[in-house]
Amino acid sequence: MGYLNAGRTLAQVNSSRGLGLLTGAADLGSFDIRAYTPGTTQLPAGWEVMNDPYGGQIMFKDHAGEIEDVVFRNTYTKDHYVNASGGNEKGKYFASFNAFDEDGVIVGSKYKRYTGDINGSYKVKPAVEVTGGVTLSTSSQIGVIGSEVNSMYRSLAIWPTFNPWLDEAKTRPNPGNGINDGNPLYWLGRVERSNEINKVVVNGSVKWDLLPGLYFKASGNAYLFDRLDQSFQKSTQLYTNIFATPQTINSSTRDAINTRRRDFQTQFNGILNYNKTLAKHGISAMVGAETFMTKSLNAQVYGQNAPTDEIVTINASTVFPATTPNLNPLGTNKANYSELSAFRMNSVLSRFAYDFDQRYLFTAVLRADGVSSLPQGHQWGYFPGISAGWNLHKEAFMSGSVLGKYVSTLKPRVSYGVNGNIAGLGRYDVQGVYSSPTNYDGVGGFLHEKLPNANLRWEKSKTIDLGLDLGLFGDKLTFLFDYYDRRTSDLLTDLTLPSYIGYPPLKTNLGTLQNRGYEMAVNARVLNTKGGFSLNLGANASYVKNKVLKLPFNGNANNRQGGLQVFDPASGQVIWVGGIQEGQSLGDIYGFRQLSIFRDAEEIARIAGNRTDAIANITGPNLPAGTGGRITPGDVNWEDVNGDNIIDSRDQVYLGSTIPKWTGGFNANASYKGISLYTRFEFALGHTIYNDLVARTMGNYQGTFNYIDLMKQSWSPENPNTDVPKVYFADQVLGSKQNYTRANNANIVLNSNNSRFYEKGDYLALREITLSYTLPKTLTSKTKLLTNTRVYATGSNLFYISRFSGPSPEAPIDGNNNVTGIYAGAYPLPRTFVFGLDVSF
Amino acid sequence: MIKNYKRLLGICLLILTALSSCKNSLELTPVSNLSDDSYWKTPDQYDAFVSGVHSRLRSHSGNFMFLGELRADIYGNDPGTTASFTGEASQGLERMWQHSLTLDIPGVSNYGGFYTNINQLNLLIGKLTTTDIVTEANKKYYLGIAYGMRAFYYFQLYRSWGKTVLQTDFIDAGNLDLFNLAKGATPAADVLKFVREDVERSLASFGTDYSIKRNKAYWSKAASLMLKAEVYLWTANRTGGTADATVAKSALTEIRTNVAGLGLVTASSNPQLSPFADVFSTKGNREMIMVARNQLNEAEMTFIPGSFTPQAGLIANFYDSLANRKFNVVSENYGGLLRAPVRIATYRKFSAQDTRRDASIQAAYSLQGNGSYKIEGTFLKKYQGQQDAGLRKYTNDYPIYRYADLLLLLAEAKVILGESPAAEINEVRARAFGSAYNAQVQGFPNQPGDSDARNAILRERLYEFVGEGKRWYDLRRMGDSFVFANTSLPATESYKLLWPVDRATLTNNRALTQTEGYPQF
Repeated sequence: MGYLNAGRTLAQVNSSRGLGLLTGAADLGSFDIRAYTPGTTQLPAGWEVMNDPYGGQIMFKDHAGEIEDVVFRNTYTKDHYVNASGGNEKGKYFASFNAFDEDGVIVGSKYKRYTGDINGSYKVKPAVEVTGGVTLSTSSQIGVIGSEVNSMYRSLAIWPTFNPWLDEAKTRPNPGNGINDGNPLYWLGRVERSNEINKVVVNGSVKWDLLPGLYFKASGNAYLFDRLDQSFQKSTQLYTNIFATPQTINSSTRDAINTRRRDFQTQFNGILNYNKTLAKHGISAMVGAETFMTKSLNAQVYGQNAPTDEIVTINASTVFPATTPNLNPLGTNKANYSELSAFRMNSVLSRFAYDFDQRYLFTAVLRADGVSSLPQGHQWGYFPGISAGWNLHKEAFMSGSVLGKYVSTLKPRVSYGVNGNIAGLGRYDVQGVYSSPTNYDGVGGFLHEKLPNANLRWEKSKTIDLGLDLGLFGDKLTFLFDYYDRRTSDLLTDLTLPSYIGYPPLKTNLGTLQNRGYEMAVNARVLNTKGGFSLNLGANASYVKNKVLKLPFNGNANNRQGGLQVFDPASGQVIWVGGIQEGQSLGDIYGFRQLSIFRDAEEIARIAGNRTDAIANITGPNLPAGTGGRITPGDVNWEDVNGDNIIDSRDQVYLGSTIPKWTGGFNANASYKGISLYTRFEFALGHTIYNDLVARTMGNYQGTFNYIDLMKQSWSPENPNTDVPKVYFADQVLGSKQNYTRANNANIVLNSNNSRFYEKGDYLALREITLSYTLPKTLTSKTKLLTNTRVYATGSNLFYISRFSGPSPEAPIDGNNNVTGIYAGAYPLPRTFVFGLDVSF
Repeated sequence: MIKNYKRLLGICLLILTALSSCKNSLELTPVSNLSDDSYWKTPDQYDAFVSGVHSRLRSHSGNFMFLGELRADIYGNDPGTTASFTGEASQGLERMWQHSLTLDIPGVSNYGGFYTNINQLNLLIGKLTTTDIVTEANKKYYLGIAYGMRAFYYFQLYRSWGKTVLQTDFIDAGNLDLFNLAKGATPAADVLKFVREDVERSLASFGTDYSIKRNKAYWSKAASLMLKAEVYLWTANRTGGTADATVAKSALTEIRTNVAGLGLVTASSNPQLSPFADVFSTKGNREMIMVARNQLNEAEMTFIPGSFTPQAGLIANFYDSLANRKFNVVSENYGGLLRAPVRIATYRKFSAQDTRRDASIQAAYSLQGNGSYKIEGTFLKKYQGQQDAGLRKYTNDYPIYRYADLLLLLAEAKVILGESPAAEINEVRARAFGSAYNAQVQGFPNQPGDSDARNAILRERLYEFVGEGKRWYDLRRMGDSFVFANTSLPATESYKLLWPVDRATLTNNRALTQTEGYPQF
C-alpha cells in the first residue's frame, strides 16, 4: 500500500522481497505469496486471497505473529535459598546458599546465579572482636542475539508472508535474510555463547575497645570480579543460500571471541569512635581514614576463519584481525588486546554528633576525598554537612498539653550537605590520550585522541533539606514531609567542541543545575485487632522540577548549548528552545503539531492552498509543485505557528517533558493470623514518550517490512476521517512526504517528529501482590525440626493502567540511566509469578 | 589507664603515617595508552604518528567521495522511481543529486570531520618544527607530508564550503579558553591563499626527495604537485588564466620528469580483468600516485557497501545480460545497501567498446517473457574487493591521485594555454579502448563532441573517474556554467554550488554563519 502511495511501479513492487511475485526458488520456498487467477488457481489450505492494490488478485498465507511467538515466550524462574546461623556470646556465624535460574522473555536470553556466603565474628579478648566473611558467587547472563531494538522492530515487523520454517513439521528454521530478519531459532542454533561471572568478596575487621565509649575499628576488604565471555559463530546461510543448488554458505568467518575482564578492588579503613553521655549531654564522635584501589585487566582474543564449525574455541582460527568493524567492550575497534588500568581514592572522614536530652539533635560531618582520575591540584574535594533536629514531642510543654495526647512524634529537621561526584570520568582522561587508530598499510600508528583538561574538578551538589516527622495516636499514623533544594555546580559534562577544534567532546565542569522537590509519605496502622487481624496502609509521592541555573559564557542567549529555534506566538519572535539553557528545564520536547489529516483535495485547497511544506518540499495547489511533489489528501495538516504559510523547523511546538514530575506509590498489607496479603502500586505522572517503534513501522522506514494494525486506521480514500497519516514506502525519502519522521530522516531522534506519536506516559502500575501463609508455630514446633514454614505466591509487574500504546509506559532510559524520552523497542519488563516455600530449621 | 593512652597514641600515629603515604599514591599514569606527558619522546613515536594521520585520512575517503561526486550527474534514481531498482530506499542521499540539502540534512556534516585530522597535522607540524630527535631527512619528509595533506584538506573545505575556519596551530589544551571557543570563518580567498602557501611549504620541505613511500600509500612530493596543479587550474579557469595554467603545467611536468616508474597500466596482471579494471585491483601499481590504503584485516571501504552496492539477496533477482546468466548470492555477495544507484543514463554515455564502462558500472537486467533482457538499473562496480570466508571484503585502495588524472589535468592546462591536448587525451583513450582503439575513430579530435576540448576533457574524466570523487569538483573547476549544464542544479540557485553548514556545527560555534544563499540560521 505504501508502495502504491509512493508511486512505485508494479515491476518494482514485484521485485521486492516478501511482497513481490518473485519466482526464484529461494523466494518461492520462503515467502508464501503467489498470483491468483480466479477459477484456475488452486488455493492451498490455510491460504487466503486478497485484491492486489495494483489490480488483480494475489493469494498468500498469513504468517504474521509466528516470529513474534518464537521471539517472546513465557518462562520459569527457579530460586532456592538456604541459610544457617547461630552463635553464643563469644562468637556468631551466618552462612547461606542461593541458586537462581531464569530464562529471558526474549528467546535466547537467560540468567543463572549461585551465591554462597559465610560470615562470622569472634571475641578473641574481652576488648577485641574479630569479624570475617567470604562471599562467592558465580553467574551467567546471556542476552538476546542481535540488538534489542532490532529484536523488537525488525523481528516483529517481518514480512507477513515469510514462512519461518523450511519444513512442514517445523523442525528446520528458515534463516531469512539476516540475524534480525529471519527465524531467530536458526541464528541461535548457529552461535555458541557462554558467559561466566565470578565474584569473590573477602572482608575482615578488628574492633578494639580502647576505653569505655572509645573503640578503634580497622577493616579491610577485597573484591575480585572476573568475567569471561566466549562466543563462536558457526558458518551461516541465508534463505537464498539454502535454496541454491547446490546449497552455498553465506559466511564462514566463524568469529571466535574470548573476552575477559578482571577487576580487583581493595579497601582499607580505620576509624576511631567515641560515644559518651554526660547527664543530659550525648556526644558521639568519629574520625577515620580510608583508601580504595581498583585494578582492572581487560583482554580479548579474537580469531576468525576456522576451517570447521566443530571446534568452538579459538584453537582452530586461522586469522587474528587487529581491528573489527564492531566496537569491543572498551569502546574501541581493537579485536585483540589486553589493557591494564588502575584507580585510587583516599578519604578522611569525621563525624560529630551532639544531643541534649534527646530533644535537640545536632550532627556535623566532614569528609575529604582524593582521587587519581582528576588532575593534580584538583584531586581533593572537601564535603561538609550539618543537620539539626528538634524532638518537640519530648518537650514538657508538648507532652503535658492536650495536643500531646494525640501527637506522639513531632520533629522538625533541617540539614545542609555537600556531596561530590566524578562518575563517568575515565581513569586517565585528564592526562590526554594518545591511542592507536587502525593500522595503515600494516603499520601501527598513534593519534592524539583526547585533549587533557588540567582544570577538571569535583562535581559538587549542595542540598538543603527541610523536613518534618509527624506521628499521631502513638505513631499509628505517621507523616513524613521533606522539601529539598539541590544545586549541583561544576557539573561534569561532555562539552561538544566547535568543529574546527577537531577533538571529541571534552569533560568539563559546566554550569549549575537545580533540582527542587517535595517528598512525602504517609503510613497508617489502620487495624490491629486482638483477633489477629491487622491492616497497614502506606503511600508516598515525590515531585521534582529541574532548572539550569548557570552555564559557562559562550555568547549565545542564556549561554545556550544545542537546542533549536521556534516561533513564539506570545512574543511574535523566533526564540531558542530545548538544548541546555539558563533558566530552562532539561528534557523539554519540541516537534511538529499535527492538527489534522487532510481529508480531501477540497480541504487542502481551503486550508493549505498557498502552503509550502519546506520539510517535505511539497506545496499546496496554488503554488508551483515542490521537489517532493504536492500536498495531497492523507498528508498532515501541520500547525503553521507563525502563519507564514511555510512549514519549517520554526513551526515546532512544546510537546511535553521526558522527565516524570510526580512519582510515588502506595501499598497495603493486610493479615489475619498466618495469612497475609501485600500489594504495592507505583505511579509516575507528567512525562511524555516518543513512540519511535510505531512511527518507524508506520513510516515504513526500512522499505519492505510489515505494518501494524494501526495501518488499517491510516488515511485512505475509504477512510478519510482519521488521525493517522497516509502511509508511504520509506517515509523519509523525498516524495514520501515525511508525515512521520519529519526532519529526522528516519533517525531515532527525540525532537522534531510528528506530534501524533508523542504519547503521555502517565501510569499506575501494580508492582507486586503477595499472598502468603505462615504455618502456626504450634504446628511447626511439633515437628521438632522446623522453626518456621511459609508458603507464598507473588505476582510482579502485573499490569499498567496507562494510555501509552507501547508495552511499558515508564520513562525510557539509556545505558547510563539517563532518561531518553524515546521508546524504540526495549527489553520488556517481564510479568512474573513466583510460588515459594520458606522453611527454617 | 596509661597503657590505654599509649594504645591511643599508637593508633593516631598509624593513621597519620597512612595519610601521609596517601598523598603521592594518587599520581597514577596510564599503562596501556600514552598520555601527553609520555608522547613525542622518541623518533619511532613520530613515525607512528605519521602512520596515524594516514589512517585517519583513509577514514575520510567516504566523505572525499561524497563531496567530490555525489552531487554530480552520475547517481540517482531513474526517472519515475523513488527508490533503487532493488527496492532499497535512498535514505536522504537523493538530496545530494537533487540539490535539496538543508542545515538539518546537510549531506556531509561537521565539515566532513576533516578538522579531526587537520589538528593532528597541526600537532605533528608543531612538534616536528621544534624537535631535534628526528633525523633531518625524516623531519623534512614528514613536514612535506604534513603540509601537503593539510593543504589537501583545506582545498576540500574551500571547494565545498568556500569560507571556513582556518586553524593552523595545534590545540594547546593548557591555554584553551573553554568558554570563548567561538571562531569565525576565514574568507574563501584567504583559505585558497593558505592552501597555495601550504603547498609551497610542502614542496620546499620535500626538497629533491621524489620518492613515494609505502607502496604509494603515503603522501609524497608527487601528491603535493598534483594538488598544486589542481589548485592552479581551479584559478586558471577563473581569473588566473594562462599564468596559473603555466604553473599547473610545470608542476605536472615536474612529476613526469622526476618520479620514476609512473605510467598508465596498459597490461593486466590478471587475465580476467581489463588493464583498466586491474588499476583498482592491484595495489601500488605504476599508475597510482597516492592512494588511501585498505587491506584485509586492516580496513575496508565501508562507504561502498554502505550506499553503492546492493544486497546479495536482492540483486540475485536480476540478470547479467553480457554474461547471459542470473546473478547469484555467492558471486554477487555484495552485502551492501544500494542507496545511490548509478543512473542508467550514465551507463549509456559510455561507448560499448570502452573497457571502462563494465569495469566501473554493473548493469542489471530483468528477463522478459520473450527471452530478451530489459535493463532495470546500474550500480558502481569499480571496487570489487576480495572474497574472504564467504564474504566480500572491500579492500581496494581508494585512489586519490593517479597517472590518468595527471594526463587529463595536463591536457586541461594545455587547452588553457592554447596547446593541443591530443597526446594526453589519446594516451588515456588508447588504454580505455584497448585493442578496439582506432585513432581515426576514437582518437582526439575525432570523436563527436571533441570540437569543444573542455567538454571533451570533462567527458573523458567522467568515464575515467566514476567512483573516485572527481566529477563534481571537475565541473566546478572548469566553471559554474559547466555545473549548470551537466547537473540538475539550475543557474538560479547558484548559491548551492557550495554546501550548507549543518545545525550542530553552527550551534557549537556561534561565530560561524550559514553559507550565503541558504536560509540563515
